[in-house]
Amino acid sequence: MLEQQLINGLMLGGIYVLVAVAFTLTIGILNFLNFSIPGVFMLAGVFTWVLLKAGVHWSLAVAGALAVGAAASLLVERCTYSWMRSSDHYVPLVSSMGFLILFENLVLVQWGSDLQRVVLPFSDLNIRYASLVVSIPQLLSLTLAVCLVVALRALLLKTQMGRALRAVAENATTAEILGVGVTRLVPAVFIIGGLFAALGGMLFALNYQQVHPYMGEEVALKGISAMVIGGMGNVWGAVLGGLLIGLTEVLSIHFFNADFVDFFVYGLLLVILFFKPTGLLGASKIVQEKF
Amino acid sequence: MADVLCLEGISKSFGGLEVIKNLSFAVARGQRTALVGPNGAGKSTVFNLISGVYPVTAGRIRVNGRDITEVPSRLRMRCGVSRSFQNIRLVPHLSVLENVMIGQTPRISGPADILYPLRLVRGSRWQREALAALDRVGLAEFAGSQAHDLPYGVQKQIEIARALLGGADVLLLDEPAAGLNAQETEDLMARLESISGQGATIVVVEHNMQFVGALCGHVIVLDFGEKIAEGTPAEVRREPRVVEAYLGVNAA
Amino acid sequence: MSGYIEGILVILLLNIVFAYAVYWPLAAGQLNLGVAGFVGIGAYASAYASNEYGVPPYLASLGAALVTFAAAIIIAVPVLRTRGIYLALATFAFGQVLHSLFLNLDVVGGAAGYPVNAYIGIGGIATCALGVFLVTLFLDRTRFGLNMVAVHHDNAVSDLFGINVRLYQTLAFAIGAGIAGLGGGLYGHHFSYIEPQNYTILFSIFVVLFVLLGGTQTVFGPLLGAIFFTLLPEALRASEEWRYAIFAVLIIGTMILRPQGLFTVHEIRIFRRLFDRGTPPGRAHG
Repeated sequence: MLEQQLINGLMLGGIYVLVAVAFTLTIGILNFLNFSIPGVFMLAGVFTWVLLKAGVHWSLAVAGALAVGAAASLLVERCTYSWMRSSDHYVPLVSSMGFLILFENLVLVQWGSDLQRVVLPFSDLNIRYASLVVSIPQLLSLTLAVCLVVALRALLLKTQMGRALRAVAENATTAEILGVGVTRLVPAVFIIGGLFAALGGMLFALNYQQVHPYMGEEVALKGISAMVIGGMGNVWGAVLGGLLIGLTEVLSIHFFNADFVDFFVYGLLLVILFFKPTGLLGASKIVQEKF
Repeated sequence: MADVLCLEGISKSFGGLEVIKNLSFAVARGQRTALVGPNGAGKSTVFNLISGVYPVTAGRIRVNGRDITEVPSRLRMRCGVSRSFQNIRLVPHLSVLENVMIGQTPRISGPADILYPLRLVRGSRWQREALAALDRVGLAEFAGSQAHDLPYGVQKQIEIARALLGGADVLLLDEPAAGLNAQETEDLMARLESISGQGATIVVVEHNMQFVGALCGHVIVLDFGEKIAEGTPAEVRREPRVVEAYLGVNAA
Repeated sequence: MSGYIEGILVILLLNIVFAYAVYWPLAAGQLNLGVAGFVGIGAYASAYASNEYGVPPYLASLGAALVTFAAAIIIAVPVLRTRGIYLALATFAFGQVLHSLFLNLDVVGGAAGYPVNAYIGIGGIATCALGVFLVTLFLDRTRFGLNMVAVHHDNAVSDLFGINVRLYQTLAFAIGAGIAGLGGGLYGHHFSYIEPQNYTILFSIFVVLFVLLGGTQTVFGPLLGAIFFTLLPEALRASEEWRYAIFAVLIIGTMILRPQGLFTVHEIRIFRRLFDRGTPPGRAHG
């Protein structure tokens, strides 16, 4: 049924939005494609499961998973971005890939590669309207995603920190000369990005009730596509891209089959890269030239 | 035709900003010409227009009588203009000899030259020739050194050797004396004189007016993209507009 | 030779081939994250040719190299319009699209995989790996290689010195793809079975990582990277998971301490000085 598929697509898109925002933050502000985000996403999901399984109250499990994500992201910042300034453009990208592999394999060593079922502390919570089913956790995560994006926009536009971040995005060297504390801002960017990715991973674990070491690749790599399709560095672009990818995915399943998902999602990414690399909500020319 | 390089009514705008305004000048074969002017006068832009880094907005550029205005930048060295750069543009981890050999590219012809293992064979024609060019700027001893190990002044001169190897008639040298001490500047001057004595035409952008006065018989003064004076060093020094541009209105 | 050692050697030789598939584009400044896709094209094309038309496996693998080389030249037209991060993303997307195509190509088994009848032994793989290395080594010593370094380092200056930057970038991309195709053909014919799960983004990431671990300033870097990646875990007798974790720590540390990789021009010069004292000026190559 197509209506149900569209709803599912939007719900799935909410998760992509969170991951795409995580990507777009480090790209837009620091010009750094952070490939460790799938790893952070997965860590948060897995820790949600671990903590719930250990009998921790769900609110503490959520907080714990977010904290793990933020800490992992900060670790990545300490070991990649702080060293990147004088190197070839792909060096931080490569280090962040190293972290993706590290995170995945540490989880693999600890908990194995099996798909683990997340047992929710609450019973089935679905809203039924006519024949349509909307799960409350899913609805909650989509709402949360949009609210957080609005909050992030406000942070970037209204606060002192936001102004400083936009100055760094424009030109890090100039910003530093003008007295912006770049060295203190960069960790903040990673922590915020890490929290978004972690939230995505946690919500994925709760919504789909399963986690495994490679869950980040499937979801977060689509987050990259969402970011590019919407427009790199543009927060609303991440939202649009995330929802579009979610819809593309369920529609490919609806009209073809599950094996065609990647074909259409990444095909869409290729088409955008070739014909409008600045994305649908294309960022300004100046931002584009930074890459 | 005695003029080897000829600019006719060149203009260049970036966005709405006109940085070069209707500039014309000619350089005779074997002449040593200096392009001088305050910072931002458009001197390096003129070099970039001649070497084709960006297209002109209006006007024609001729080299050896041939109109090269529409020739893509990649082929301009074959038309006879070669250049060095204001900031060092060498490959830092390659040896000096290898850096210089990159300058030979405009003269290769066909796959045999491209696939010749010039970094493997000792004393090949290409290596001997590159060494000779290094010798002409007095740097043969550095041939085996990695470029980034050498002082700034030496690297600037390597760029001159690289520019020489393209077989061009006109050498555009962007601040060749920058970063050199008095002795090195004197050596550079002697070498440039000998290079031009062998038939090359030299155009320099330079801030060191003593250097310009001693080396060049032909000076073009730019200010805000316009030519405000042209002649021998002594002549342009007497021009009131030049004094004004350099020292400000009150000093005139 | 024991089966264990032969197994490791085959992996090592294939990794060397894949390393040069990634090295070539990197030598021109392109980070190709879609190399798995090209390996896949080579594997499927050669397997199909030898299964269906009885083409000898070596010929099929070399043919696969030509097919991927040609495919890459066509793909390079849109892909090389992008640069930097966008180029890495375009190759990534391209690899993902190919992966999903392999999943859906029923003629070669789709998700179930595709058995390959003909067989290529370790000798054939060794010959091909040596060939790839020697050709790369030779080309690096030519003006072609020198100009490639120039293009990587500074597009604008290379252009002014008469180097056709776009042509060099396209060739670097396509030569890398051709080598990937060859590697794919060898892989399929040695292991007698190919499946889409072999050619994922993780494959591309691993090859890129071990090549950069070795270093791309010289042609020896990728060789060293492949040896390191394949043999170190064996030497440590580490379990499958730990070996990747250790490798990840190694690459992160290398990027911090030596972003040019383990083996650079500097090491070559040290070796040269050890073996070749009294070098006349102008003889030190990078």
